[in-house]
Amino acid sequence: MAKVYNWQIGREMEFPYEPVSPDRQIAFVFDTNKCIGCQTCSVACKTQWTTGKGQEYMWWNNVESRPYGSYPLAWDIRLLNKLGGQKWENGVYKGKTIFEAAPQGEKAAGWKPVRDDWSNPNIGEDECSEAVQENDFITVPHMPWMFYLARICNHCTLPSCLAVCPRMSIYKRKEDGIVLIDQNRCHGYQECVKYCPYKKSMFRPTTGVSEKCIACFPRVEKGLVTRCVENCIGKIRLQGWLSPHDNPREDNPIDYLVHIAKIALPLYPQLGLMPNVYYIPPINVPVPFITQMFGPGAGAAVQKYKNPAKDPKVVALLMLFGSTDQIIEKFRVTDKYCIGFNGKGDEIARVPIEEPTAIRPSYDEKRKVFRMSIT
Amino acid sequence: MKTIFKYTLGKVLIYSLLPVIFAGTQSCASDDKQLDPNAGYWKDSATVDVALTPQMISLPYGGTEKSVRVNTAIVGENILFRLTWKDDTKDVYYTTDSFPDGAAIMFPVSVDSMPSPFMGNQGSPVIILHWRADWQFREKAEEKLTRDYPADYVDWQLPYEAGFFEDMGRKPGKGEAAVYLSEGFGTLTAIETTESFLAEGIYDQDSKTYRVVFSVPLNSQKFGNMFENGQASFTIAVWDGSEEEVGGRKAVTYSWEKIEARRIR
Repeated sequence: MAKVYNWQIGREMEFPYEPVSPDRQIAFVFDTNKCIGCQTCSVACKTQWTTGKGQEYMWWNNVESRPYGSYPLAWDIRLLNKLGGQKWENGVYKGKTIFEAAPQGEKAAGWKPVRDDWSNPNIGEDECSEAVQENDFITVPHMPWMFYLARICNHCTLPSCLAVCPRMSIYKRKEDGIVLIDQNRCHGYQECVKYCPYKKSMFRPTTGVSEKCIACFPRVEKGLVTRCVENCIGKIRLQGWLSPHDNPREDNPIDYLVHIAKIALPLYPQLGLMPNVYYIPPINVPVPFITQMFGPGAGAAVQKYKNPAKDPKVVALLMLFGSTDQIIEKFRVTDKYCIGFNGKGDEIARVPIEEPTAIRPSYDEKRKVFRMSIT
Repeated sequence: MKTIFKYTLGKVLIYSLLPVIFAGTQSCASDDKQLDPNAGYWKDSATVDVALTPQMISLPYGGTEKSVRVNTAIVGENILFRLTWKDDTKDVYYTTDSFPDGAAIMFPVSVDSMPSPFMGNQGSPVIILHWRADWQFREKAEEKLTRDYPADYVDWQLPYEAGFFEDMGRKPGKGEAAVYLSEGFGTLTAIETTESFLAEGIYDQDSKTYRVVFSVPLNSQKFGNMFENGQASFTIAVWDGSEEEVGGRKAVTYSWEKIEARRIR
C-alpha cells in the first residue's frame, strides 16, 4: 500500500499503487439543478456504445431520481453501510475509505450486484422523498423533495477498478486520465464490478469480459466533448480538464468551479477514489443529505449558487454549459459575454451572461388583441 | 428500402462467413478417443492424490478445500493428465450472477530452473492449461446467453463492431484448453499455438464428480520436451463456480507435485 494525499478528503490515505499523475485529467461538472431527467444523455450513450448482445442491461450513463432511484439497486447505500460512520471534522474525513475498510483477504470494501439489481434502471423515477401531504403545495420550500442525479464513470484519480484488477487489465491513460479496460487482457473476473463503488464497470456475458464508460475517447482525442455532454437537453454538463488542487488556473472553467469557487463537488468523496465528475448540489434538498453525498462543502456550495451576484464569474460560467460540442479549455468574461476557447486559443463559444429581453406593450394595436406574452 | 437491403445483404454475408470463422477456432480440437475421461486405460495409469487449499498468497484470497486425484499417462505423442474431484453442483454459466466451474494444470517451461509454484517468476515462466465448464458445455451456456441477451442489433453492426470476430474466436472450443504463459501473479498471457493443447471434461451427476483430461504434446515445437522420461512437475487449481470462485479465488496446491507418466499405448 502506498500513501497518497487525497485533497477531496483533506488527508493522506492508503492506495494499492503509487499513483502516477496523467499529463492532464479529464473532468466534468454536472449542475443537478438544471437536470430535467429526460434521459437524452442515457440514450445518446446507449445508441453510441452499448447496443450489442450482452449489453442490453448496460447504461454507462444513467440518470436516477434521488433519494430512491439507483442503478444498480441501492448501489451507494449498500456500500455506505459497510463503511460504517463517515465523520468529517473541519473538512477532514475521519472515517474509512473503501481501501481502509477492506475485509481480510480483499483489497477493498465492496459488493457485487446481480442481474435483478441491474434490471430496474428507472426504479424510483420521479418519486419524492416522502408522500405529499395536504397543503404541502402552499409550503415554500416544499417539504417533499427529489432531484435527478446523472452519472457516468468518474474516471477517478485513484480508481478502485484499476486497483483491484488481478489481471492488471485496467489502466489510466497518461494523456488524458481516462480509465479503460483492456479488452484483450480482461478475463471477466468481475473484481472491478464488485469494487467500483459507483458501479460503472459492467460484465458482458457474451464476450466474457467487462466493459465501462470510455469517456468517448475517440471524440476527446479530437477535442470534442462526449456524447452525453453534447446531447444534454438541459445543458447541465461542462467538460474540460482539471488542474492539480494546489495549482488551479483561474481561466480554466473546471478549475474555477471546482477549486476556486468550490461550487462543484465530488460524488461521495469519502469513498477515497478522487472521482472526477463534480456536481453542483441541488438547492432544494436538506443539507445533511447533500453533505453525505457531496461532502462537507455542500451547504456552502448551495448558498453560493443561491447568491449568484457575489460571484459573477460563476454566473457567466453557468451560461457556458452546453454551448459547444468542443472542449472548452479557457474562458473569459466581459461585461456582457462569457467566451470559451479551445486548446488552440480559438473562440468556440460566446454566450450572453444576461439574456437580451424586450418588453412589448400588453396590447397589440395592429391586431387589436392583448398579448399572452410581453417578452 | 436501400437500408434494409444493405442490412439483409450484410447479414447474409456474415452468416455465410460464420462456418469459416468457427472452423478456424476449432481447428486444433480433437475428436480422438484418447481424451475420453472414462477410457479403460486410466486404470493402468500412475496416480497421485493432491490436497488443494484456498489461495491466500495474492489478493483477493479465496477457494475451498478439495481433494483432487491426478492420473497421468503417455498416449501416442502426448502426455495426458486426468483430474478428478467432487463438486456438488455443475456450474456452466458465466454471467453477471454466476461463475463456471473450472480447472487448470501448470508446468515449468524448463525444469532446469524450477520456477515459483505461484504462477512462475520473472525469467522463469510456467505454462498453464485452463479448462472451464462453460467452454466444455458450450451449447448449454450459449442457450442461456441467447435467452437472456437477445439483442439482434449486433448482427447489423457487423462488420463495424471491431473485435467481435476476435471475441468469438477467443473462447476455446469444446475439447480445447486455453493456454497461457505466466511469470508471476498478474502476468498471465494467452499464447497462440496450432499445437494440440487439449482439454476434455465430463460431469457425472450421480457421483457429483468432474473428470477432466488435459493433453500436452510430449515434444512441443514451441516449448520442447517438458517431460523428460515422463517425469512431470505440476501444480493444479480448481474453481467452484457456485462458491463464486474466479480468477485468484481458487483452491490451489502450494508446491510442485511430482508424478511419472507411463506409456499406456
